[in-house]
Amino acid sequence: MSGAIASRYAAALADAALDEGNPERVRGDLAAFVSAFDESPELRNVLETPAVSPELKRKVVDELAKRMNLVPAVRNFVFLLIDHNRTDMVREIRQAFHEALNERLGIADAEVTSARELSADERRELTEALERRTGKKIEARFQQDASLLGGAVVRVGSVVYDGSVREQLARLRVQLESA
Amino acid sequence: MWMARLGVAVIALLLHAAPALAQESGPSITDSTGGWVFRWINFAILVAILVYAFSKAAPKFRKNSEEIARQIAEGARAREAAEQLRREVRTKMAGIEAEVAVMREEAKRGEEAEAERIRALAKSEAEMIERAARAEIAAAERAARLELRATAARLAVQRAEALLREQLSASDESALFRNFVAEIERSAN
Repeated sequence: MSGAIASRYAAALADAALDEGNPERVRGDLAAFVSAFDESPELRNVLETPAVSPELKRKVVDELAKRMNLVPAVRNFVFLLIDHNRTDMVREIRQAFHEALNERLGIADAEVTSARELSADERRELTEALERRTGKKIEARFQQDASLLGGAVVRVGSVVYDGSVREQLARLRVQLESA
Repeated sequence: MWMARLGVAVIALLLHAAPALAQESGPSITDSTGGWVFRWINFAILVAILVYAFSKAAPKFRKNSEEIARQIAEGARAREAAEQLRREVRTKMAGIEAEVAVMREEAKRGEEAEAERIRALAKSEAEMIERAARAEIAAAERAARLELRATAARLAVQRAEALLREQLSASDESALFRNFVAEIERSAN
């Protein structure tokens, strides 16, 4: 239920960010605000306490937006969350906004896990291959896992491409057991 | 009660007869007219007492008589019933041998049928147990084969993994990665 609500807010913000013509700035400013929200118990206390009036909350956020130089779209969006008592969902909304904006911009996140550290050329080759495979711009995050033995595993959204030696051995074991 | 009344009557009789008995030993006035009158009066009193006593005792005598007659009648009826029962028993006893023979025959047939039923049941259960045992053995055999196959596969893969860890070179890993990228490219086209 909260996921659906967060998705609706995130979609509205993504549309607004695209309308302003600077979606990456909105993405960055929202991330900065969420970081401040996570790191400051005082800010969380003010924004999540019902005892503080919405007007005071708006003033605090307005002052914070000035200091952080947040774009008006992000500041107004936080005002909207204050008015609707949804500030407790700001982290979830940020993640949903990231996905919604990526979807609108044709960007896909990819998690690449390899047995060893990939060279820059290998990373580029893989990223380009994934972009051709998905038809989207790939933003890849790379990490290592020696238990793969060799090869790599790539997750794009809910799709997993498993080219690891560990997976091939697992398939081999299943074939041997069922032979 | 009637015995007490009879005793009273006898005592009264003796009291009335006492003067007469006393006068029998000597000369008395009993031979005179007054004596005779006195005797007749005594006699009348005696008769009255006797009549009275017997009238009182008669119902009891009748009751006893009726009771005796009733008991005699009941005895006759009981005797008749016993006679009837004796005749029935004799009749039954006459056919008892045949009945016993029939019962023995029926019991024998029943025993044979029961024995046959038990034999059939035991045979059926034995067959069922045998089938279950065969199925269990077959299942255990299949499970053992699967377990053996799984163990062999696990050991083979473990050995392969150990060999790969030992012998997989950097160039091999690069080749594996290139193959993976090529596979993604192929699936895109």
